[in-house]
Amino acid sequence: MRVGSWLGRVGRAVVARFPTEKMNVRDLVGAKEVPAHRMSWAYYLGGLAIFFFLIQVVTGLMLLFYYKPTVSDAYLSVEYLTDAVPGGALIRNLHAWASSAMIGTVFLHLLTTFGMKAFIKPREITWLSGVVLLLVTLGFGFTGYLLPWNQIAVNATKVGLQSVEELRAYLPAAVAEWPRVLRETFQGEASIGQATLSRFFALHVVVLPVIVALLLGVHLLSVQLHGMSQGVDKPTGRAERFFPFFLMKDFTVWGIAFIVLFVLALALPFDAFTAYPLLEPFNALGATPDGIKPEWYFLFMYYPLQLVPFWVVFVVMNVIVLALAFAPWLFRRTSRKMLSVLAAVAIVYIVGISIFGHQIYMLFKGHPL
Amino acid sequence: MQHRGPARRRNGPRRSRQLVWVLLGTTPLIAWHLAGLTAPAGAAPSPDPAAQLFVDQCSACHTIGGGKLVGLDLAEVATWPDENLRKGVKSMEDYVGALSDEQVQQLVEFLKDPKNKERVAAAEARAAPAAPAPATPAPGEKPAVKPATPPTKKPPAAKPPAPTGAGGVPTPGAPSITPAPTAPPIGAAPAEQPAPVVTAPTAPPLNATPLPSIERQHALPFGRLEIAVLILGFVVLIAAFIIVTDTVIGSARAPGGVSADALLTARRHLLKGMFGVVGAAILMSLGVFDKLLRFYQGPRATPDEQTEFLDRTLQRSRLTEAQQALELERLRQDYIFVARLGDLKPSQGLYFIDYALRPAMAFRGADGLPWLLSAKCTHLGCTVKASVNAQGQLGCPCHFSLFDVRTGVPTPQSVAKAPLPVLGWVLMDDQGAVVASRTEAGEMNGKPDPAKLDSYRVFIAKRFAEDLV
Amino acid sequence: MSRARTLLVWGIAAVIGAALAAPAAARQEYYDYIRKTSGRPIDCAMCHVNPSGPEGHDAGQIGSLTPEQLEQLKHARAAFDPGQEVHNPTLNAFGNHILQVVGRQRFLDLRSDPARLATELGAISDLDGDGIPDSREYRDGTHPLKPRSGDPGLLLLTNLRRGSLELALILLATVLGLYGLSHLMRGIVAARPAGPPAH
Repeated sequence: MRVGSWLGRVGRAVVARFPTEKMNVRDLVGAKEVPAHRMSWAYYLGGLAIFFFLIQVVTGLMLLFYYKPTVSDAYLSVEYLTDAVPGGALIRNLHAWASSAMIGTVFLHLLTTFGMKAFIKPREITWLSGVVLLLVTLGFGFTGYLLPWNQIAVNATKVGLQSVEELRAYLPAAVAEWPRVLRETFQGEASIGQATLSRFFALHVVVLPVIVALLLGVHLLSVQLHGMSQGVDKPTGRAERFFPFFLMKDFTVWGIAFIVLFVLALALPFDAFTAYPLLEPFNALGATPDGIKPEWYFLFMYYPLQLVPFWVVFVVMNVIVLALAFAPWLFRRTSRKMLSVLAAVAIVYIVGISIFGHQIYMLFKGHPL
Repeated sequence: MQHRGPARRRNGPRRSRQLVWVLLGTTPLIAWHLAGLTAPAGAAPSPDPAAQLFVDQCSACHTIGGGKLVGLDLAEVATWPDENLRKGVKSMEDYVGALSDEQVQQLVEFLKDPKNKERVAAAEARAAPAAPAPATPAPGEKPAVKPATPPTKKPPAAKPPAPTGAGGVPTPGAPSITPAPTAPPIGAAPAEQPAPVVTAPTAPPLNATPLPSIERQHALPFGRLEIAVLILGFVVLIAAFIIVTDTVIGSARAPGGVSADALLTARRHLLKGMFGVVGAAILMSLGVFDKLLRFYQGPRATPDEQTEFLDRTLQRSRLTEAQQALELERLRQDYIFVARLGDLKPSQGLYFIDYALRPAMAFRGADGLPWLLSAKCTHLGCTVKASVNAQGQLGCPCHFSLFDVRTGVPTPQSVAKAPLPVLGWVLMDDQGAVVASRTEAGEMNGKPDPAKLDSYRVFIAKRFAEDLV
Repeated sequence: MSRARTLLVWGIAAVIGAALAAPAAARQEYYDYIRKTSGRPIDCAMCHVNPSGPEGHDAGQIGSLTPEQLEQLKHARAAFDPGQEVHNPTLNAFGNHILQVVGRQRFLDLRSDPARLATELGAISDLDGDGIPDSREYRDGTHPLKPRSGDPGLLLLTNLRRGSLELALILLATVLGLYGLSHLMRGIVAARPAGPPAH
């Protein structure tokens, strides 16, 4: 009986979040309005993230025509694509730049929606699917990074995965081996090799895209059903029509983003930011080169791991993820001002540690990382 | 006509549809005509083949009277005896690929001609305006590689003789990577496997003539087939737009629908819209879509390039084969050879692969016996450097942990907390008899003869490894 | 044999011996200089065929050279003067280019002042065609034979220049496309029967 009534409550809650009477073109698109206020610029970020994702899908598909996911061929196939295939260098560079653009936009989108308190009822499902989408996006970055199979790709992945094993020091003997076993299961073998490459490739190209497609469907449907959130504590009362005005502006933002991305992809090789020894093919039997570090979107975790004890970082990260997941209930009564402050602090931290992390490390430890 | 308005509206869709059929019908003719404007590759023969050959193959590295570039100034060679000049030109095959005897003769005569500079200028002037992009590369020329994409290019000249460790055939080509060809002999302690080797063409210097790909870009970058396909595509697109426009406007004619004014406005907007989108699509085609087709087609590699690429793939496969052979060896054999004890040094470790396929180092201990440590840093798994520093420590290049070489214990300041695992070893004499062994825990078995120490061979044993993991 | 002639023979032998047995650490000062001024991690592959340097038995290292290559090595090692053709099989095109331009003697002398090598290499040669001179790539710690390795700012400038037509086309295409899309949407709106007014 209790289960039944509980299920009933959950069912009613879900139905309330997905009002079927609103699922028609007129309500979803025709009559939709977007509030106009000083934070309205943030309403474009979600669409921008989708735009970058679409670019990733298209360029990713094109890369797929040439990439070979084997330990002996991966590096050469990427090189062949870049040097010999017409337009290959452009496509690859576009894929690399758009991946950073997408992850950056997704972070910003999360933080601005957090600051605008867009997660409260009835938008909890939008928010939850969004948080999972963020984690999946980071998963894309992590799995894709391994695929070129050069020194930095493999070593950064190794280091990233092995950091989980630091948990061993805090676990009782009975479960002390679990982190290692989990890591080896995820990798597919004891040390990163062909099994890992195949699994990461499958995750990156099929599993994660399918998950994204499903979640994005739920996320977008929910956004269209409930419309854009209020955004500020004191609404101005002004709004503009979604179709065609906001949508046109949305497309303009996409156009500008496309131009910037294309200029970068055409003129600035992503590889130029990595020292050349790190881009040589992975050598399992040699020494690891200097300067291995993860991509910029993991630096906010990487530098703290070098500076403070592991358990601190572990606990803080988990607290943050849980706080994000339960935000619709945890922060229900918090003012938008407070939430904006929190979001601003987070942005300052992420930008600061990504740019100055190395200097901060040197300040504390006295030698370079 | 009594009612001009309604009659016009009624005829509108039908006229548009007729227009569509007319367009679809005449398009193939227009397309073929336009496509014929781009000459196929290599159609027009050059009036001065020797000068053309010089411009295409030699000018990237040589000038005539303009000073030394990559190669010497060819103004000097006019006074050389013919035979020497012929040999010199023929030797350039290492850089530019095969030269027929006729081409060599043409070049020799060209280089001795006092008017060769004017001939070069004339040849370059012919090449500059609207040079048609060849759909297929002319013989001896490199394929049109990704016009104006970052920064890779294939200069027409090229490459100093490749180090023949890579297979013996110096092949011309773009910046190429030749991975390490030698596999470590089974059982030997492998030194660091070298990562790929870059042998590059000696490209023309900064202030040389602009890239040929840019010049082709200013001309029409299509081949015949592509233009035809594109024009067909556009016509289909335009036809679709016209139909959509008519449908939208037609549906607005329902009773209670839109006024005539609104319809006109709508039609105007839709036409502008169509113009904009189709115009954008045309521009994108010039910039991007033709590349999409070529991307899908793949590179039109010359036989030399194909050879080079296959060679590299083969070498890379050999590397993988070597690693798998190591794995197999460790599965099969009870003992793996590390080194002769005489070859081990106290301050420079020899890398080898242990039974768990992890890097390890072998030193000669203070007692003259082997000292084997795992080279996998206990912090995050980077490979520790094998050279001992002045304080008797081994350093990890990733996070600077320092390990005492005599114990494997990290210094208190190191991020690594656990000591480097010690590996057990077995000493065998030349007949293969086990003379001595030591387990990880340090238990010694057997007594090696101090006089014969240098000749003993060091092995790792599977039975010791099984206790490890 | 007279004493003078014996001395002469031994003298020549010593010079040749010294030339052939040139110190392996000829490169250490250069490595340290580049590492320090550029701040970028580098390896021996900047000038050598093998990223771990010329000593050893792997590809591109002295221990694996064929007899013909050893001959080439010997000739290359004797190229003390600039302007000679150098084909040292343990050096890549940049390494050989350095020896060709300044000569081996000067290269060894410049160990005490590695910064000067950049000046003496000049600012014209650009072996990988990326628009950045080799001497600049030497100082920046980027690879002079890899077109995608270089200071990002300089690469950007060069490629913007080379790809300017492409970029102009894309810019125009995007602007035109947005113009077209906006009119399309307005057209659809205008053709719609007047529905409930948007407030």
